[in-house]
Amino acid sequence: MTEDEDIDALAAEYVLGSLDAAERGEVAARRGKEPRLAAAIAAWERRLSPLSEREPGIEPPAHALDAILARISGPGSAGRPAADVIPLRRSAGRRWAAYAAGAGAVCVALAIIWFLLAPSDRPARQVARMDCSRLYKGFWEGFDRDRYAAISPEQLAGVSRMALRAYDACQAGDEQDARMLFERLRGTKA
Amino acid sequence: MPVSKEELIEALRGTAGGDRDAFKTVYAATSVKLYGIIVRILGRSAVADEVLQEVYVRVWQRAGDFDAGASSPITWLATIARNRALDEARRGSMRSLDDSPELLQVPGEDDPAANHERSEELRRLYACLDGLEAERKEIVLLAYYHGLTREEIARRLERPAATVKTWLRRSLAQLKDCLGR
Repeated sequence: MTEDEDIDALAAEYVLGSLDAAERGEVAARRGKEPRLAAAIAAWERRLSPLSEREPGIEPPAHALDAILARISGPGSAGRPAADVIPLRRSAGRRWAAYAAGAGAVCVALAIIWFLLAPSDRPARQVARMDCSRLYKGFWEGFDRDRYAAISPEQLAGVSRMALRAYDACQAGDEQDARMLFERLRGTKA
Repeated sequence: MPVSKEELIEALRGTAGGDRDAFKTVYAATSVKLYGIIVRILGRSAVADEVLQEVYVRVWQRAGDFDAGASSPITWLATIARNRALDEARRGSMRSLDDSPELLQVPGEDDPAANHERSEELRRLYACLDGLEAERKEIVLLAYYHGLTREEIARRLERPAATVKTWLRRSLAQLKDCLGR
């Protein structure tokens, strides 16, 4: 087998999905440095991608979009800085926000602000959402990638569920519960 | 939510510019398909849910990389989803495909709706796949739709892994010749 054929076969199997972890990792590492391999991968993606048309699809869980929107809400999460951190415009809001921050009860206070101001002031609602999102996003960002790889799928499923529950608790204004859950999650052992 | 290819390209452009509504349009139009692709590789699991989220976060961050001249939007999105799901599968995330036999079905060839929407490219690819022996075609489709490794395919078919490797490589070379590009 010539070198070209070898590269092409490797690219084909990479795109097909039949390489084992070591081979796949090797190709992923090489494609950035080897233009011929990268071109062969692109060509195989073009050849095989029509098969994805056949995928009839499965309805994703209802919470997925909210979780995604929460994850793209943080500053610096987009190619362009997120512009949707909307400051509170009411002085009452500022007073409450300052009090809340001072008390260190960010989540619950913002939920209270939301509760007080939401009917007449939509931006306040976004502020309330933002902070729970930051907690949630911060948790996943702080979650060690190596540990993530090392824990079992069952554990990961548990972590993921618990993080969502913590996010829900935060959204519901239950600060104590949310913080306790995130704390417990940080202590998850591999 | 069915949207045209042009609308999807437009929504991806909007997403690249930071437009969240455009991003929601992309999600509504494509998440069912992408989740299907992911679940067929990872099984129904929290890992699959996490991968779906990561894929769309990536779409939000990288929508500017999409080149309408180089690929169709759905192809671009499906490639991101497959790659991410395959990486996750190789990290040892356990799959529950054996518990969900319906997921092991290769999407049906006789689905009239699928047939109606079948592109010229897919028709050509299928004509070439039909040129392979039945078992080899099955192997190619198992690997593509479920991301099974040669070893996993070999176990399933009770064949030596080396045989599966030879078959796969010959089948892929034959496909390439048949497609002529």
